[in-house]
Amino acid sequence: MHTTSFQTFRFACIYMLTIPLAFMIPPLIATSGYQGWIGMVIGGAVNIVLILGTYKLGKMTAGQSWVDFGEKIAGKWGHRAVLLLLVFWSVYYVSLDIEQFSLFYGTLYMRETPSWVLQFMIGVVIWVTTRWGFTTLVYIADGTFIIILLGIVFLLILFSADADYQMLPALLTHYDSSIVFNDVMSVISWIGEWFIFLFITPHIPFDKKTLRNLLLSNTLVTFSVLVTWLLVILNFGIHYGSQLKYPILQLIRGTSFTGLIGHADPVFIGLWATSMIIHDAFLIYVGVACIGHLLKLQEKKPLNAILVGTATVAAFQYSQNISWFQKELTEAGFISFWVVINGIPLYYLILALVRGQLGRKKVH
Amino acid sequence: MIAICFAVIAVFEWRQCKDKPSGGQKAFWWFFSLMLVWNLAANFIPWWPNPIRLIMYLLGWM
Repeated sequence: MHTTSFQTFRFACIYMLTIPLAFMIPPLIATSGYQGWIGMVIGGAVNIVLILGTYKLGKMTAGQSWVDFGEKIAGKWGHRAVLLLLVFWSVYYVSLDIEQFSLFYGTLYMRETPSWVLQFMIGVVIWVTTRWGFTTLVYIADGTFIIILLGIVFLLILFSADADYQMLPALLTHYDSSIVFNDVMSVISWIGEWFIFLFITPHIPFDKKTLRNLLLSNTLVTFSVLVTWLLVILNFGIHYGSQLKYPILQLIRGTSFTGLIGHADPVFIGLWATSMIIHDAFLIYVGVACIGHLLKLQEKKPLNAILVGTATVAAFQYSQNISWFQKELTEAGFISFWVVINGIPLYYLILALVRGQLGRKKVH
Repeated sequence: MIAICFAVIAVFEWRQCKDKPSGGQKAFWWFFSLMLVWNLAANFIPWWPNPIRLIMYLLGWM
C-alpha cells in the first residue's frame, strides 16, 4: 500500500469525528449544561495519554499485526480474551450506529418505511464497503476528508451568524465540580477509542509521524466537537439544546439563510453518512481480524457477512423498544463499559512494564 | 429475515473461497452455526438479550 504521512491523520479524523459530531452533543448538554467545555477539554487531554499509550504499544509491534503481537505481552489466553471482547465491542458499536442512523433517517425522511428495511440496507452497504479491505477504506477517507472538513467549516460559519453571544459569560459563571468527573468519563466514552489504530499495522507503520498525526487528529476532533457544542448552546440554549435529537440538522433547517444554504441538509447528511460507513466498515474489519485470529482462519471474507449480520440483527432488536434503547445510552454502566474498552492500551503497557518488556528493542 | 439473508451471503462467500483447510472449515462452520442460531433467536424471540442488555447485566450495578 502506497502511504503518505497524512493519510493516518485523514483516516483518524474521519473515523473519530463521525459519531460524536452527530450524537454526542445533546446528552452532553443535558448532563453538563454550560460547563460541557470543561469535560471536553479534559477529555481531549486524557486522549493524549491514550494516544501515547497506543503509540508506544504500536511501536513495540515493529510492523507485526497487533492480533499476533499482543500475545507476547498479555499471554495467549489473556490476549484471546481481549480479542473476543473486541469482537463483541465492534459488532455492538456497529449495531448502535445502524440503529441511530435508521432512527435519524427514518423519523425525518422515511417515516412510512419499516425500520428493518433501513437497517438491512445500511448493513448491506457496510458489508460491501468492508469487503473492499482496509486500503480502500483509507483511500475513501482520503477523498472525503477535505469535503467533510469544508462542510464543517461552512456549518460553523453558518451557525455563528445566528448565535446569541450574550450567553458566553455563562460558560464561566455556571460551574459544578461534582459533575466534572462524569462529564470527562462521558467524553472519553465518545472520543477515546484510539486503541483501534493498533489495527492499522502492518499497513501503516507506527512511527513518530503516526504519533504526530494521531495527536493532530485528536486536536481537530476535540476542537470541532467543542465548537459545535458551543454553537448549539449559543443558538438553542441549554434547555432546548438538550431536547433536540439532531441539533446540527435543526441548525441547518433553522438558519436565517434561505435558498440552497437553508436547504442544504441532504448534502450534509450524505457527507456524514459516507463517513459513518467508513467508520463502521473499519470496526467490522477490526472484528474480523480478531475473530479470524481466534478461529485461525486464512480466508476471512465470509466473516464480514456474519459480523455485519449480527450487528444488523442487534439494531433490529433495539428498534423493538426505542425509548429503552435511548435511555440506556446514558446509563453509567454503559459509559463505564466504553471507558474500560478505551483503556486497553494502558492495560497492555502496564503488563509490559510488569513483565519487563517496555524499553526492549525486541519482545519475545 | 435479516439473520437468514446475511447467513446466505456468508455461505455464498465461503463457497467462493479457494483455500479451505479442514481445520478452518470446522472452525468456520462452528462459528457460523453459533451466530446463526443466536441471530435467528434475536430476530424472532422478543425477550432474547441484545448487546446492551448483556452489558447492563454485567455493569448495570454502576
